[in-house]
Amino acid sequence: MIPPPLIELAEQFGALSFLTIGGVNAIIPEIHRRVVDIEHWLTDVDFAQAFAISQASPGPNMLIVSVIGWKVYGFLGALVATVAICLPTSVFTYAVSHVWNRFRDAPLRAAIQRGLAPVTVGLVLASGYVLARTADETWVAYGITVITAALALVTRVHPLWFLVVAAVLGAFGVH
Amino acid sequence: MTEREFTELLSLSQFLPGPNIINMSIIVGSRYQGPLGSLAACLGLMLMPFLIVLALAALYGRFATLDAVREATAAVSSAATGLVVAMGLKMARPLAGTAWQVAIVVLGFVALALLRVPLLWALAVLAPLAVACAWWTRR
Repeated sequence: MIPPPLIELAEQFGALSFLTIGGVNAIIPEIHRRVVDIEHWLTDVDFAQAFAISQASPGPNMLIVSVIGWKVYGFLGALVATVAICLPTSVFTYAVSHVWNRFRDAPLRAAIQRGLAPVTVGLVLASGYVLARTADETWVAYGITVITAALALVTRVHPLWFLVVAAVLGAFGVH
Repeated sequence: MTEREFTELLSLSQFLPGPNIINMSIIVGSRYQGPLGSLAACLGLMLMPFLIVLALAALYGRFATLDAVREATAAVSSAATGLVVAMGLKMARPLAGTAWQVAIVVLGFVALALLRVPLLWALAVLAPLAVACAWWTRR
């Protein structure tokens, strides 16, 4: 008998698989909507923590899915959530990459690529907004977000440094 | 693999739905060893980060009672949010000169961030609309 939470994790993240255009950072609002608003698996605070842990960890952005799965049902939850979001599109990618060369120069492919670019940008900006509403509870927190965004835009500092500095500031009570 | 091939595969893996880096490993792996190659590449890429992030999550769970740990994590999530905002703005810059692209960005933002529309509906409307705009304005 498979525990119901595992089935629900598989359903929720499996459904997200094909909606993941432009990477996992683009679908944060949808993950938040399902995990916090619909399923009530996590609170806003839990969600912000899961996001922080996944971003501070080496590896792809999609690890937030693993952390959410872990919070819902431990190691098995993490495994199921991660496999569920990867497997459907992986099979599709495997199939498509073999016929890809035939469509490489098709005008429709170029149009799809050029059309999806602004869609992705809208999604990523929405992710930033939803994360700020979820993660930032004080004016200082909003300040950290705005200053980090500004510095990341105008400098070439490695992104990890921003997280390190924030962690130190936070540990000393600046938040 | 040549650099040109690599760039092409990268653009393909970003273009297809699904986590980009996973798609990349599936494609590269399949080049060499078929389905088993894809599986190996994917596992090789994900296994360590997966275990590390869970170890961090477990550590966090153990020490979350400490104020300093909770506060540090909250500050990290605020900063990481800033990085996502910066990424969005960087990606938006090259689109700024094209009216329909700006319109799509704004529509997407309003739908997902302010109205909290389900992503499936938003994509069902926006994706065909955006691709149609790209098609009409193709050179």
